[in-house]
Amino acid sequence: MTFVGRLVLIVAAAVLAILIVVAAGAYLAGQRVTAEIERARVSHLLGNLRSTTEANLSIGLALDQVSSLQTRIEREKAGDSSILAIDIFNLSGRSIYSTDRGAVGEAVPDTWSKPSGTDEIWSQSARGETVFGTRFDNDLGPAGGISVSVSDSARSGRNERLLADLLGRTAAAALAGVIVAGLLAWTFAAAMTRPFRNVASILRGEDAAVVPGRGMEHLASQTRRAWTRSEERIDAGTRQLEALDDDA
Amino acid sequence: MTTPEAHPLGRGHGRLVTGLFAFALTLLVGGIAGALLISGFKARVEETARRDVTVIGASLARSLAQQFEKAARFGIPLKLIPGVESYLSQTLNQTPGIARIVLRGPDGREVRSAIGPAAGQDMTTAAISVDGLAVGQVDVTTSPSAFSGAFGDVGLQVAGAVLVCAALAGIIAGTVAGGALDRRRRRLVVAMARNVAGELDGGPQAAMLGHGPVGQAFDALARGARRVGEKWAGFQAYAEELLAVDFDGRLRPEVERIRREALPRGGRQPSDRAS
Repeated sequence: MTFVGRLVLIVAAAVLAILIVVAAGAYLAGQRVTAEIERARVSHLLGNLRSTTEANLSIGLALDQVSSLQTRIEREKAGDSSILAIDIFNLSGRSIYSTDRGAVGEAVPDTWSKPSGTDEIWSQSARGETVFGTRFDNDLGPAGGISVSVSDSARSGRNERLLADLLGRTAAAALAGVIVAGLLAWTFAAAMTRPFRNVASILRGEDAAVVPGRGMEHLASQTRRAWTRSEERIDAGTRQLEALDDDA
Repeated sequence: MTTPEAHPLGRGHGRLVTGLFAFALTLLVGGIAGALLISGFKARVEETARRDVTVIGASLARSLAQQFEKAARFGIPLKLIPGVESYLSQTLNQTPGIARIVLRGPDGREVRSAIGPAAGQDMTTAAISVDGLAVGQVDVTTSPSAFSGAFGDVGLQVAGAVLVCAALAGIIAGTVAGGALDRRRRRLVVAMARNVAGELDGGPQAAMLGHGPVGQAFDALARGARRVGEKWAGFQAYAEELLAVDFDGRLRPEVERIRREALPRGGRQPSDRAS
């Protein structure tokens, strides 16, 4: 393989490797951003529902007396297509308000009511959905919990769209990068191999002028002159042999 | 006098120069292409995040408006509600993606506000009304770029990867491409120096070196050496032919003299390296 071929191949491979690493990093960052946005959106909703619930409990109402919560959670679900269900349950893990009316009065999964002891927003992923939850308190301490179930398909669909976009951008950047790198490498290789091109030209006799200096061109010029002198001596010898032959 | 193998022109800097060039080129092209890729994709992610952040902003504006409505129902003017500024600041800090919260009076003038470090992009407004009478409004300005902090972490990792890839490209290009160029330069110089010294050396097979300038140089060398070699062989054959019919040996001294004079400078008989 020629010098320029090797150089272009190596630089193009390195540029492609860089873009693959960059694309992988960008995709992971994009996934993280998507997850953070979803968490922020649901956390905000949970915070609002919690403060509303606690405000009602603080004025002495029992949880099952705050019927406005049912309207509120249905309105929130209607406003966000990725929300599958919102449940508000009491301390014993029984659903009091739910966007799934059939679930009202039923027990929520144990795993939902267990994390209610913490003040942090918890999350659990299973069967293509992620459940985010938090607890709410009354004057005596923890009084129950709120859960919001979000479909994972919306998030994975968004990640797939971002991936398709990223692949298109990477392909375009790779094409442009390889072309630019290839052209610059070709220019550099042309400069690096110019002495060889000059040597070929001198040795072929296309540019037989004596080249000053100490470069390869000068040596090629000396080589060419050495050949010429050899040929002249051989020609002279041949003529002398011919004369000898004729005399004999 | 130096031997052809030790000719000073045989020592090239192709390895170093090629390695440095490949490093710089990969760093430049890879760095620019990578930076453009990241910034373009980041803008796309922020654009996608815009709708979600607007939903958060609208919900926050609605929630704040409801709280101010409660105060307004008691007849307290918005300006006189205590702790509003710190409450808005606390809300702004606790809610990601919010750049600015402004509470305005019924005349639209700013009453209280909280402003975050990020630049806002979209604004949602929720009216504060009591019994159908507008007493003010809450403006919430959202900033999707608040979520793109993950790209800042990626930037450092990517910079490291670009540096590593560029260094590898420099080392490999210097060794594989630059090293090969140095070796071929040395072989060409040695072969030409031998020809200058009177020895016909055509170098390696040019076909193995490709059709680039390097291959062309070796091809020209091989052709030139072969041409002189063939001429010398023809001359020798002619001399041998004369000696073959010189039965009395009368021509031999003269033929040998002509042969000696035809020898290249240095007096050595051309070898058959060119064949």
